[in-house]
Amino acid sequence: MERSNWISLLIVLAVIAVWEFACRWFSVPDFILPAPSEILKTTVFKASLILPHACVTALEIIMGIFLSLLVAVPIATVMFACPSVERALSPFLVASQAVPVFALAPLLVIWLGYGLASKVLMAAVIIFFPITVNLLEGYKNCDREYAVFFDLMGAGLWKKMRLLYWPWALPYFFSGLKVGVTVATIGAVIGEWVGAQKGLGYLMIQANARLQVSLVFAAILWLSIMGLTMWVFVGFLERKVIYWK
Amino acid sequence: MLSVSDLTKKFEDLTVMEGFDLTVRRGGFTTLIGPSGCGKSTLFDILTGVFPRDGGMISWLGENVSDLMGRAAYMQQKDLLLPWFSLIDNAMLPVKIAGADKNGSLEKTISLFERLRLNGFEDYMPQKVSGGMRQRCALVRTLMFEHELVLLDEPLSSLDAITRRSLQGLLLLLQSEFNKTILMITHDIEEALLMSDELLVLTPMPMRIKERFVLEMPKPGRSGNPELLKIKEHVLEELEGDLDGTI
Amino acid sequence: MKKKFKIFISIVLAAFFLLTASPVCAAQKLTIMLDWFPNIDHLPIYVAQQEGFFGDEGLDVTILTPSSTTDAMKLAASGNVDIAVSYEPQVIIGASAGLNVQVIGRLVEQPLSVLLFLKEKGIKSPADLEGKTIGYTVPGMMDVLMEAFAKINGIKNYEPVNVGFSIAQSLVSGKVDAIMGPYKNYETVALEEKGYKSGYFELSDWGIPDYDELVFISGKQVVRKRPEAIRGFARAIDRAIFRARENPQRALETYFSAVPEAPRDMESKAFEITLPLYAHSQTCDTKKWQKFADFAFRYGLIEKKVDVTAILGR
Repeated sequence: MERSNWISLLIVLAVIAVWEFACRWFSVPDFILPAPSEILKTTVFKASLILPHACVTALEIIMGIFLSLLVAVPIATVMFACPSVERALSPFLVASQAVPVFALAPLLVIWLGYGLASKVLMAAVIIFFPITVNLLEGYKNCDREYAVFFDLMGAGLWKKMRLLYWPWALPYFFSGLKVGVTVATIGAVIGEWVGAQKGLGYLMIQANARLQVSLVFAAILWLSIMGLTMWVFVGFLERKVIYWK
Repeated sequence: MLSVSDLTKKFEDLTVMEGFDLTVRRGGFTTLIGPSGCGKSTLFDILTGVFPRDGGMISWLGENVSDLMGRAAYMQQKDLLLPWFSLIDNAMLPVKIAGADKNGSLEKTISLFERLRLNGFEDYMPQKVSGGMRQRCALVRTLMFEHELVLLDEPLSSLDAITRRSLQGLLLLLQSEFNKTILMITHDIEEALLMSDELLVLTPMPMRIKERFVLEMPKPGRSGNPELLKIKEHVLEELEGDLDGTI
Repeated sequence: MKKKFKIFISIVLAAFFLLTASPVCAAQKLTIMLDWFPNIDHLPIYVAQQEGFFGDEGLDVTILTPSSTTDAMKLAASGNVDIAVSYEPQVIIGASAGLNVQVIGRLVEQPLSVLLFLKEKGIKSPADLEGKTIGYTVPGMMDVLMEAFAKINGIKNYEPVNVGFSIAQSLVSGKVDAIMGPYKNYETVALEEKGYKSGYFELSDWGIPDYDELVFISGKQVVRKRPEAIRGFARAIDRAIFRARENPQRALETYFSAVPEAPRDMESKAFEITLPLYAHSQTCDTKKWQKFADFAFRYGLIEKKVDVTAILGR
């Protein structure tokens, strides 16, 4: 392991140690702030309780990402190909980011119910902006000289998109996707906080109300691990797809 | 042949050229040489259609055209190789885009790779090979264009002297072999003298052809030719004079 | 011949009406939204489900958990759920505001809500609450009850804070000095388990009239469209409460098997206190309800007078 990885690990362990010590020394009630040892116990022993909820949240996030990609990629592409479309859609794009997502959540629950749909849509909405904007930026970042060169070869728009603009934009796309993957988690959880019957966000509210706060932290731990796993996976995908870097 | 008549281009209050005329003999190697910023790159931009012209006509093989987009091969100082394609895929790009016969072209490309000593590197990615090899690959790509007319915009100026020399020779060889009509811009007077059938010296803006040299000595075999040395001196004087004038 | 034919037709018609009038083979679906996360107060609902009492009435009931303390009544009033668990004061306040709901059954027929505080705070009488921060659990109900309590007992200034589900945390962390809304059969036990002694003011001791703590409500349009299903639901609940009193141990086990996340020790203790408090009949006392409605109007908790016969469907 590299030196920087050792240092990160040390910092994490130090924080955990201080936390554990402080909880014991100050006799902090476990339903205000549980000690790391409690959290670890809960994470392991309550795993069978947490797992089905984790699966539901994971499903919401993954479906949300796919839904967002399905919409964002074509829109960004059309916006790039037709500047008039870009001008027309730009304000909406910015608005989609400015609107606080938790204001949207209750509305989605009313319209779509307590099931998966509202959470999937929440996750999709929250990552729509980073993906679209990054992809569009990637397209635009292509050096003019290459575009001219393609024109000289007599390439039509479709060939230019496929052979030039899309590969050029891929690094930008993936950086947007990496951001999106971690933020999608937030969307799904907020959706669950507002109205759900399953999922890690739902579990967190219930556990908190029942004073099982170490379960809340265990749920957060699972969420973090899920987010991290997805980040790593996207990174792996990125290296595979952008094979020339 | 390529003929440009009465070409005019103005940017705001700057007249780049006005009433510019140029004729390129079919099958010949014509070079344009001039001081920096005289407008020769703008001429190429107009010829290729990147910039619109304010007046004048372009005609290729007797036919009036708006520009040469899709009618000429083009090679620049930058190799413009795509990093996500191997050398051979890059070289075949004009074929892929024109949608032409793949198999025949593949053979041609491979033999060209061999001629330019790129054999064995076909599947390498551009980032992994030297600048000289990339420019050679770009040269192959230029030759894979089906077009007879080839526009070269300082194609060798980013290379070191040795690589330059070897590619100059190859360019000549390939021109005669593939019957291309070449119009080249360069800064390097010696290069121009070694390779051209016709050398046109340009003035600073507004750009005109100041002087025209027809070079009939056989090529290769021109280095050290005393007549060429005289022409070189002459051209240098002209260019320096213009330089003084513009400062 | 004619007579035989008439008899034959009568039998066919009778059979036809019999078949269409009785509950059809396919069970009727009902959704019920709880008022709070599933806890021991809801035991009869889970017993009714697990022991098949809903099934006996031809009902297929889905029990939903709320995400906030105000979900239940809202969703019942809008028809998004068929039935919700609610509280008499909340129903009266809602009815006054024009919500179209009706009470269709009872769960707990006595007040459970108290004004809770940690013993160590040294609060002895309502006057000690003057100028303090007082939390409430259900906006639209507990904050309103708190207003009434304050008016009756001469508390002029206090800072109300919405604490939602976070009762114990808010008290222990000191964010609030007292909370209106915790239950004397539940939160007191929960805090005791964690080592905290609590004290409380019983509302009926301090001027608030008697009321049904937990009732079942339905949107009026649901009652109109599906009266049989609604009545069947109430009957099943009645049976479940009876069964729980008959065999408390078994009822408790049934509940825990349906709600595995429930803290066993704490809720078993709470069950002992709660068992006698479950409703003895599904019919509400109209006089008691009107008394509370009038009290609410007198103390300005509601703007419009409420005639409880409209809500109680009698």
